[in-house]
Amino acid sequence: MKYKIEQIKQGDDELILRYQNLNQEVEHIMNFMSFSEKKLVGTKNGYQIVVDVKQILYIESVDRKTFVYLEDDVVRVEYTLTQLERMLNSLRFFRCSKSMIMNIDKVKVLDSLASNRIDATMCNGEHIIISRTYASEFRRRLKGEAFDE
Amino acid sequence: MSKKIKYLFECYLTKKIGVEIKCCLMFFLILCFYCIYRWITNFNQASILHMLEMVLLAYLIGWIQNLLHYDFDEVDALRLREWVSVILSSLVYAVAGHFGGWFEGNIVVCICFGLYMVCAYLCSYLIYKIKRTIDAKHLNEDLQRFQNRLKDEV
Repeated sequence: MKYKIEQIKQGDDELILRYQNLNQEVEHIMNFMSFSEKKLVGTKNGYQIVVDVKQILYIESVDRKTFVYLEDDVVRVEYTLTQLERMLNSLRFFRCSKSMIMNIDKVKVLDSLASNRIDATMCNGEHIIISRTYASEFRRRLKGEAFDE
Repeated sequence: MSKKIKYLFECYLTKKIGVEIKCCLMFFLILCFYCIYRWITNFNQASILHMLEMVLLAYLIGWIQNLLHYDFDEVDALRLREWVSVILSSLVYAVAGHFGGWFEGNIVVCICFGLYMVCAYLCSYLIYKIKRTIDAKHLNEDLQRFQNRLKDEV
């Protein structure tokens, strides 16, 4: 793909993406462009959907495919969980298992389970179990310790 | 040390510590009953051999429960499986008490001891449950504070 960088003397900074076919490379660039506004571009039934990062409940990886779960929608994105974890380097997102990242801001209630596990009820009523391995880190994050470090 | 070995070792240590804490708790409860019995029956001495049997039995039952996933005291609700574990374990303690001569072969005391162990198990289940309820309360308070902090940042 060709690209052109041009310095302008006046006017707003601008990024223009011109493409013929919407392929993976174009999608990645679109994601990069929209991410500066804290938005992710995903696909659902072949359509492009822009997702506001704050509206994400959790992100799950199933069979090497990554899905973003919203309150009443599921969107597929082309990133791996590790890439998203890095991109969403924010206070609100927490890696709660090997295959999941959750939005702490969308947790409604927490329940303490046996063996130091935590059951998080999301605002849409879904339950996410935080295993013992991640629970201590989660507790630290809630107390604001982990992020300060 | 490779990561897998380290992980397995940590898992083993976690299990072992859990079993030993429970073993201490059960031994303390058994010893309590035993000492009260000795005191009531005017025996002023406790047998070291009896105590050794109690510790070893508590340790053995702790490991069996752990390996068979019968750690009923940490479950969220008592179901048939947990009741079977409670009754069987208490029965084993009562039988061991009888054959070990902890209560001079007095069957009535052994039955009382078995019932006492059932109560002890149920109490430990309740204690863990209360502990988790308090923990959940603290977690939700922390969550509330965390979410308020997020709102303030926005």
